[in-house]
Amino acid sequence: MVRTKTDFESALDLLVLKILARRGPMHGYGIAQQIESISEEALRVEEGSLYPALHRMEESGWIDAEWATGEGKRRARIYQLTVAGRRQLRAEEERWSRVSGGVSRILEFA
Amino acid sequence: MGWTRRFVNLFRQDRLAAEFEEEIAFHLEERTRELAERGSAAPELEARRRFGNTLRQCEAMREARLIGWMDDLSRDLRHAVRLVRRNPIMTVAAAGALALAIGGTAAVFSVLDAAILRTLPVPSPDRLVRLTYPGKPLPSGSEEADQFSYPLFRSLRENAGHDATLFAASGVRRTDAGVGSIQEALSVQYVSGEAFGVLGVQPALGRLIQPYDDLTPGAHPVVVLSYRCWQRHFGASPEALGRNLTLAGTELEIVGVAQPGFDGTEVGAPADLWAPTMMMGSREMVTERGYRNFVVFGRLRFGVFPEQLAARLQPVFTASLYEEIGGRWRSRAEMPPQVLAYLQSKLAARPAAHGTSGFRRRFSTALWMLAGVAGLVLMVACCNLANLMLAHASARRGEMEMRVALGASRSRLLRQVFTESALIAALGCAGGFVLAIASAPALLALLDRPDAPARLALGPDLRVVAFVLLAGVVASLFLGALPAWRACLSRPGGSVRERLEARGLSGRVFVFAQVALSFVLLAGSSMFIISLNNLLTLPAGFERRDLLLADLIVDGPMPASETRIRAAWEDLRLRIGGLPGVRGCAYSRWSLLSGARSTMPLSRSGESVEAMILPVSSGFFETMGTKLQKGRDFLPGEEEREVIVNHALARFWFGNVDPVGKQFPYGGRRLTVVGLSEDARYYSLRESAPPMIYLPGGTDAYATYAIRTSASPVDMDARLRRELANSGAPLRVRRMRTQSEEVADTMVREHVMARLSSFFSFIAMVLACLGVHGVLSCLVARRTHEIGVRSALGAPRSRIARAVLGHVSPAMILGLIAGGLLTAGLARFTESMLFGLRSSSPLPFCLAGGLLVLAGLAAGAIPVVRAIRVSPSTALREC
Repeated sequence: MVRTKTDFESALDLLVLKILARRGPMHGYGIAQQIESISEEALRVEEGSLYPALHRMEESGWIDAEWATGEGKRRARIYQLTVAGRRQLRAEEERWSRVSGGVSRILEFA
Repeated sequence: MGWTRRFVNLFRQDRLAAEFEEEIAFHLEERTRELAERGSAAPELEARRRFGNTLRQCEAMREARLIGWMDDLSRDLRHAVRLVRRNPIMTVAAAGALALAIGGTAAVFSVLDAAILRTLPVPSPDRLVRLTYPGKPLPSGSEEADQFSYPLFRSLRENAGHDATLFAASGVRRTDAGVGSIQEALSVQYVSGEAFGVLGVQPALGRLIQPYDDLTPGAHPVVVLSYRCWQRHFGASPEALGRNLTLAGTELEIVGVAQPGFDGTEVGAPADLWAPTMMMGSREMVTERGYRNFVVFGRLRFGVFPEQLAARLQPVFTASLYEEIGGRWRSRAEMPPQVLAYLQSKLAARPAAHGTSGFRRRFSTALWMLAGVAGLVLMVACCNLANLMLAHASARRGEMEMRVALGASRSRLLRQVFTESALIAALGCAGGFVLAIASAPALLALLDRPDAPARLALGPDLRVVAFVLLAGVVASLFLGALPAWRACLSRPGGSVRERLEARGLSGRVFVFAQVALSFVLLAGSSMFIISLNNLLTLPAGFERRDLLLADLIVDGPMPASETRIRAAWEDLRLRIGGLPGVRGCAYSRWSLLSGARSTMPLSRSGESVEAMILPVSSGFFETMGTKLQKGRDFLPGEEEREVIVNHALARFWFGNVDPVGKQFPYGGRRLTVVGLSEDARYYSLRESAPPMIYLPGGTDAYATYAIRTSASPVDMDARLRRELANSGAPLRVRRMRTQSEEVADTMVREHVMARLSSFFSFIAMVLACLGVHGVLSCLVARRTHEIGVRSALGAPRSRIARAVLGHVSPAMILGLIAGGLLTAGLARFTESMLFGLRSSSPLPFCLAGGLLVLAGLAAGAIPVVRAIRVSPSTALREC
């Protein structure tokens, strides 16, 4: 059913969760913009791949989505973090810091 | 949340797709606007480029929102349904054949289950046992007997102690019963007082028979109804309690109703009423050692083995045997070896979780065999279907290759192929299930005796359902296997020739398998048909046409004077004999094939034999059509000093000397032989005539009248009752039937096997023909071009025909040979059911082979004709 996520996908998840936690609810386009601007254009994800990730996270229960009518006729889907999402974010952050800490230590002392 | 929503989304796919598109459209708009603000030349294109493959992302989003495998499955199913709709004929033929095969097998299985496999509906049936001992050896071999006399049962019961609790149950007989003015024949079983307690049956109303109902003969007028009888005859009303019921002339009070679902210990002969053994018709049944009417059951105490119980009761049993017949001889030295062996019979305790069943004894072999037959037909049907599916798959190879080219994985292809075969199999199963439920009662009706129909609880049992499902799964796997293998092999642009060759081979392999299996079935059914014919036409030693049999019994209590009752029997005989249209009348204690018998061991000069004893009236031989070769018939009112013997006995006892006038020892006396009759079948049509001792007119409580007349049984019944009423004799008619019916009753099994096996083998043969036809049609269709070329080059028609037939004839010949070998191997198992025919007899083989060859030729005729008719110019144009 759910295949194990690739590293890329888990990194993307982490980014999305962090952004939603920091900046509050926003739609997919907004999240893509944020990723670009925060990482100073270093991370230019293929934009399309964001949406499957968003839907996957929504199925996992980490984010909630709602349709909202913005300016003009187009509706936009607004995502926001859930309680479970916050927990997942904390867990993922810890994991990242562990991994990266380990890597930096190796680089220092190897 | 998760699962249910994902499941629901399966049905909302259009809406989902629209939503995805909308979301992406929003993104693209915003991006386009932003790029336009930044001064891009083609903002829309740029936005799309940066977004990536919209279709792929939509697909990924969809995957995230659905249950993946279910979505695939629904797709496959829809595809399969579309395929089915496009080829209705193929589907109907395939599913129909499968339904027939599965239905037949399931019907046989459900009867098997109800008669043989199901246990009694009581707690812990595996602790129930039944006592048996080796039966007196019949001419054919010994069987186990389980009938005990009541006094013996009593001793056994006392001696069982703590190891087990025993109870006795009589057989189930149909008896006239009446409530108020309504009379009907109901099934009655007499049980001892502790029976219901030992079995663990609960009352649904009132109480059941208790030990205190079973103390003194005739002193406990109580009866218990079965639940079904209570529903049917008393409308399940509590008012039934306390009402009086007349049973065979005795008035009994209804004291209770048994729990629903319990029908007694005899499977196939459910009881409507239970009465205490003490209330059996005549006292002698429960007081005399000579009457063996009861089966003895027991419930073992936990931890006790059946052998322990048997060992414990052995001394009592042996002592009783000595008492019963040991007294005829003065010392052991005088006893014939048979008698000695009999006195040493070992008691055994057999598991009785399935109760007893005469039905089971008679039909279990036949039923298992029918199950085997149906299974073979199922296999033939599966072969046929696999062939069909294969042809179908070949036609779709283009589609398969396209899928592979588009990136479908092997597993995906396999899944689709198996879904298709599963759909057809499911249709076949559903049809088969319905067919099974409809035909199981019909199968049972075929096996029935008209007077005592076997009533089995057939019905959609879990086991039958499970069986059908299993058959369906196996069938779908089998059907899908080859096409699946073919699908796995499909490569874009694979070699055409290679595929064609391979296809031809597997088609022929299936033909081989079908021909072999059909051969087995046809040979088997020929054997049964020949056996049946032998049985029907064998000279029985008596004339069975125009012969009516009437069972009569003394009505009410036995009159004290023996001579009075004998005079009554004789008087009735004369009256009936005098009726218009009656060419002869006589009576005997039992009819020839009733299944009851009285035997006596005889030994002379080292050889021993079991002789049958039958008391008959004067005029018996003439009425029955059995010739008296020497001497004379009994005179009316004969004293028991004279005897008539048959050929078999005379040859054994007297050798080649004329026995008339000689003395014959019987029961310690010496009787004079006054007549010699020809051999006539007795007790069983299949056994050759046993040595018979006919005694003059000594019948007391019951007799069977043989009436030679062309009148119908109904007609005769009315006249007989009138005569009885006129004569005022204390006799009652229990049953009226024709001799032919009685004969047919003993041959039910053979009839059923012959009929059903030929039905099944006919189906198998038709399926095999369809297989041959299919393979040849495909061949001709594929090679039309080649045939056209050959024909244009001058090949004569006969060569073309031979070539076409030659494609499939090696397979058929091999199939015939394999079938012959298989039949020879399996024929051993049918030996017990054949008559007048050895299992190695060549006749069935020849019949089967001949039929199949003819059928194969007929099946191949159409494709061959089509091949011959191929016009070269048309064929070449169509390349």
